[in-house]
Amino acid sequence: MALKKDVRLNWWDKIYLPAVFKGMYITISHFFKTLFTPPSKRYTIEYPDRKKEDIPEWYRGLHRLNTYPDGTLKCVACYCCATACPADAIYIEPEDLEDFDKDHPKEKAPKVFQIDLHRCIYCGFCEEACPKDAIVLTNHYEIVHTSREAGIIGIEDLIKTKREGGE
Amino acid sequence: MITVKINDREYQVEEGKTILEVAKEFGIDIPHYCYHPALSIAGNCRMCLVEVKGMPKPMTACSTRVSDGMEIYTDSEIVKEARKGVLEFILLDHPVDCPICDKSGECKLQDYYFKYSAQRSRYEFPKERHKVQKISKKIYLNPNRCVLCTRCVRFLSEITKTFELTTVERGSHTYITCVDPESLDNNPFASNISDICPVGALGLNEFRFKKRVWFTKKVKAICQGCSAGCNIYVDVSNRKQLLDGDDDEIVRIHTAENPKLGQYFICDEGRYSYKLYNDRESRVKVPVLEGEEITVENAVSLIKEKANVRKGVVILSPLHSIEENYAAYLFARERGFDVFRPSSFRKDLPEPALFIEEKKSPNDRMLKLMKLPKVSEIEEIDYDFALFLHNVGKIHSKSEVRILSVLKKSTFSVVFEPVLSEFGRNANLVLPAPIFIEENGCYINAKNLVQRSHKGVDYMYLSKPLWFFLDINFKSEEELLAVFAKEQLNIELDYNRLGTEGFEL
Repeated sequence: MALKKDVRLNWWDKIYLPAVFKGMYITISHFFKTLFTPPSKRYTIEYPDRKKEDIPEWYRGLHRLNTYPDGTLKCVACYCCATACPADAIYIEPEDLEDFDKDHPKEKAPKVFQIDLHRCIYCGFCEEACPKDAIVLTNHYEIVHTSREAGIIGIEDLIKTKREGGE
Repeated sequence: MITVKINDREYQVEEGKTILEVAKEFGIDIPHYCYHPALSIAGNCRMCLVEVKGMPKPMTACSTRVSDGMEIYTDSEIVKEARKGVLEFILLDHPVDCPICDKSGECKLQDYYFKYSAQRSRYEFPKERHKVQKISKKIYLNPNRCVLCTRCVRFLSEITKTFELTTVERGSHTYITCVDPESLDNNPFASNISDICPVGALGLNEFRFKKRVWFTKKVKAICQGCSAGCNIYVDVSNRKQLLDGDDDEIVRIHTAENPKLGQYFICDEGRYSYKLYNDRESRVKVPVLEGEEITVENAVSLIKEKANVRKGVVILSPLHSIEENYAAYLFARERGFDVFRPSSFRKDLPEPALFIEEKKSPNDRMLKLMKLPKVSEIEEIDYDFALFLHNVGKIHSKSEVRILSVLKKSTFSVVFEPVLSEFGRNANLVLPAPIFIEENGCYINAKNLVQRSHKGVDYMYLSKPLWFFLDINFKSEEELLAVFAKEQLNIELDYNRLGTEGFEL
C-alpha cells in the first residue's frame, strides 16, 4: 500500500526562491571547483583523449578463449557456458576429434564458437560455469563495431584478446 | 501373498519377486545399474545393496527374493555407507569427463554420485585409458566410462542372441569389446544398447556431440513405423535460441518402456525414422489450392462449399491417429459419403523379429475394427468430392494406384498430409497436416491396445488438425476419442483412462 505523506509548506517554502538559490550555489561552486583543477586530477575522464588505466582485474569486459601452451584450445564445447548464459549470446558447434591421444585425452572441441557481443550482458556467468577455465572476461572495455556482423566474433578473434594486464 | 516390511512399513507382496521389483512397485527408490526388467539378473554392480534383518552383510536387492516376514531397510546407515563405498570403487577408474560426455544430464552415475556419494576421489594413480572406438556404423564405445554392468552383453546374448559384445581380461582391467563389428552393423536392434547403458560408454554415432540432453524435451509418443505400437520418447530441441534456429527439431528417438505390452526396446528402423519428420523443405506449410497458397479460413469455407454434393468419398488412413480418422468419418457420415480404407504397406520381417510387425502403419487395427470396406471395393470412381488422409510413410501400392485414380477422376479432391506426396500433387486442395509429435493422438496396435501419443510441440506453420478444417464442432482431440470409443467400441474412454500403459480392448 502506498503511503501518502501529508506535506505542508509554510510561507518561506512557498516562495521557492531560497531553495532555487541554494541549489544554484552548489552547482556553480562545483563548476568553479572543476574549472580550477588540472584535467589529470578531475573525476570525469575526457574519454577519447584520455583513457582509464587502473581498471580492476575483476572488471568484466571482452571475452577471451584460453589455450594450452602448445596452442590448442582449452574449450571442449561442453555447452556449460551456453547453458548458463542468460542472454543466449553463445553459439557453439562441436567437432569430433577422432585422434584420441592417450596423453592428451581430448575428444571434443568447438568447430564454431561465436559470441554475439550485441547480446552479451557481460555478467560473467560463462566464466563461472566453465569447467575447463577456457573462457574468461578480460578488462578490455573498448568494444566497438561498425556493423552488426562484426559484433559476432568467433574463435580466431576470441583467442587474440589480450590477457589482463596487457601482454 | 506374503508380508514384508520395508523401512518399518508392512506391504503385501507376491511371492517369488525380488526386493528391487517389490520396492519399485511401491515407489521406493533403490539405485541400480545392472538390473533391467527385460534382462536376466547379474548382480554385479553392487549398487542395489540393502540391509535385510538377520543377514550378516548387506544384500543385493536385485537378486534376493522376498520371503515372509522379511525386514528390509533401504535407507539405513549401513546401506548409505555401502552405496558410498560402491560408488567410490566405480569412480576409481572413471574419467570425470562429464562436460564432453553425451550421457551427462541423464547419466545414472552422475545422478547417484550427487545423491548418495558426493565425496572427493582418494585415488592417486593414473587412470587406465582406452581409445574410443566406433565399434559399428551406428555405435561407438568408450571403454573408459564403462561401469561393467554388462547390460549390453546380456541384451545381445539374451534378446537378440547375436553375442557381439563381451568382457575381456580380469579384475580392474576388465573392459567391454566388440568381437563381431559386421554382425553389429546388421543387427536390427543393436542401437538399444546405447539406451540401456546407464553411463556414457555406449552411444549412437548419430547423436554423438549433436545436442546436450538438457536442451531437449522428452515427449512420450507412439512409434509410427509399424503396427506394433512401441512406446518411444521423442527428444525435441527446445532451446529458444535465435542464433541457431533449430527449434522443435526432432533430435533422436529412444525407448520408453511399456510393461503391459511387454516392450522394453525398439527396433533401429523406428529409432532412425525421425529424419523423415525433420524434412522441413517438403512440408506442406499452408493450404494449397491448385498451386496457389490460400488462407486457412478460405480453405475451411471452400471445403464447406465443395462438399455440398450428393456423391462424395472419404478415404481414411492407417497412418493417422484415431482422432484424425474419426473426424473424417463423422464428416462423411453427416453428408452420406462413402468411406473406404486403404491397405497397409507390408514389409518382410527381419530374423528375429522381436517387436516388429509386418504392417507398416501404426493404426491399421482401428480401421479394421470399424469394419470399413477396402479401397479395392470402390466401384465407380467419378465422385464429385474426394477426401484422402495421408501421412509420412507408405500405404500398399495397389491401394495407392486406386486412390490416385479416384483423386484424378473426382471433380474436387482434397488431400490432408504433412509432407507433399504424389497424392497431394494430384489433388485440387492440399491441407497441411500436423505430424504425430504435434498433436495428441491415439493408436490401436496389432495386439488391440489403445495407446496415447502426446503432443510435444506446437502446430508448425499453418498445419491444423482435420476437425478444424472440416469445421466439426469439437473443442479437443479427447472428445473425438470419446465419441469414437462410444460409437464404435461401446466403451467409455478418455485420456485419463488410457493412462501411461494404454487400454486393452
